[in-house]
Amino acid sequence: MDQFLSQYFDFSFMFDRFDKVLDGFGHTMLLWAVAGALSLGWGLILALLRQLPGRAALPARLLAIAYIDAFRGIPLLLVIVLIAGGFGALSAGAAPPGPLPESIAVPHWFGQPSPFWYGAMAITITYGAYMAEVYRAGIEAVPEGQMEAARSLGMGHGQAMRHVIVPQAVRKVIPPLLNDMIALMKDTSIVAFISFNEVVLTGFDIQSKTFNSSALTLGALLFLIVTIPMARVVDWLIAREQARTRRGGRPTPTLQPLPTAGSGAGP
Amino acid sequence: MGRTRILLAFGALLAAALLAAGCGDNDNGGGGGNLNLITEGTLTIGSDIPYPPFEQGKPPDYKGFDVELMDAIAEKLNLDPKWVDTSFGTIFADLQAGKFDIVASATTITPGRSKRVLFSDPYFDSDQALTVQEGSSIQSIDDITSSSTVAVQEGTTGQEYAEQHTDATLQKYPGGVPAFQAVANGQADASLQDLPVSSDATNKFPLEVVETLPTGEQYGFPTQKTNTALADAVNGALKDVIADGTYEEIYKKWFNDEEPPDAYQPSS
Repeated sequence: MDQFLSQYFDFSFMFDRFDKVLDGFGHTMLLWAVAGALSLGWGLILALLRQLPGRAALPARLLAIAYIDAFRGIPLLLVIVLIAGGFGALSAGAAPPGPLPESIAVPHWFGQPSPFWYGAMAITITYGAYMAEVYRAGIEAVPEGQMEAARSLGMGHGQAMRHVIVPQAVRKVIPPLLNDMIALMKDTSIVAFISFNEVVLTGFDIQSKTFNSSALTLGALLFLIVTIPMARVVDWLIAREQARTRRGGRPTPTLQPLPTAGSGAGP
Repeated sequence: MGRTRILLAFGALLAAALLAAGCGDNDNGGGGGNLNLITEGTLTIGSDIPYPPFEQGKPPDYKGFDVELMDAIAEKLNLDPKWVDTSFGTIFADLQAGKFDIVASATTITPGRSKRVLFSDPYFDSDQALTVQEGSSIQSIDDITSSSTVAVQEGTTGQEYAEQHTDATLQKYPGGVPAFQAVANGQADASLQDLPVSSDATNKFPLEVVETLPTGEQYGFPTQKTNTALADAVNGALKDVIADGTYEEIYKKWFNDEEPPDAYQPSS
């Protein structure tokens, strides 16, 4: 027991290494923000491709479905390792040289190292597929009459999607999207595998130098500080939505009660 | 010509038969004893596989220098070796937690590590090697600047060396092979890892070792800090294996037929 406590819950050790672990967690947060934003956008694009109407768009629909099926079914770790290794081997700077220019195959954009961008790509590829399904659920939950009404007003499919369907659909799926964002944050730790210096790799590094695992525990605590409030926000959003849509619930603000006809008017 | 061939073949057969006979009569060791083993009669060995040429191969047929040497030591002790594949990053914590009796994983003896585990006598002299792409502008450790990227395996002495002797950005990988791959792909400028592993990698990637960095480092087999009985038994068996030439044989097999350093040669 003492061994366990000194290995994982050495609080003075955590205090000493706090700066280092926090620095790693900063990298985690940055990767989360970038990969999360990219995934949210890419997922919506995939969902819209899947909803394109007409026979001409059949190949696009099939491609979107195949993509979503494939990348929901491959572990993120494998996608990350394959992207990092594959892109590297395609680089003109590799031995023997590959076809891709080094600035693309080994990206150092915005001062971030290549493992950061491989990680962001892999997470976007995988989470885009998850989120596309969430968006699809939202789009399909918008009553069909909305689309019909929009089309009968003369809007094209794209316009109707943009101005009528997607705003309603996204609103419905904000809680599950936030849940995916929480999962995505935790999954950024897998990028440690391709040497991105985030919080888990920082913890491993400290562990292998000091034989003390408390830095990993500290990393776990830092995650909780961010993820627990996010989970509460999700709960609150769901509760609010339920209250709004429940029969007899508070009506939406646009439905003001009509002025009573009793007092002023009358014959 | 034909006769020479037959003679050669016969000679090879004879040698094989002699070798087999030589390996057979080792049933005189201590056996059992009180070595505080996890499973009586079995030596459970933790190793981060693959790390060629020290540990490699598919379970349960592991091969490599560490594997064959440790198997020979276990045989001297009348124990059945049981290999457990684990990650080097957690190997000491796992040893302390009692997941295996001993570690055989190309482990450099360091003062820091010695505080937590008990090392056997050294069984291998290890130097670090600087590995780069063939034709790289980096030809020595002095060519590495703060704008260089050096790929290392997380938690190894290669990483320590890079941190102490360069101000390069480090890429820390979970295995040795991904670190070499990063150099081959141009994602890192150089790799700092143990010499034998590095020279092995140059056979598989278009890389070259441009500098050997003597470190005075030696490998040992770590056991739990309190298990002096096992460490003593392993030290005894290691001496026997060196004395009877088994060590030399295994060394030559895995290191391009080179002679082992004097300390590991059978005393004549």
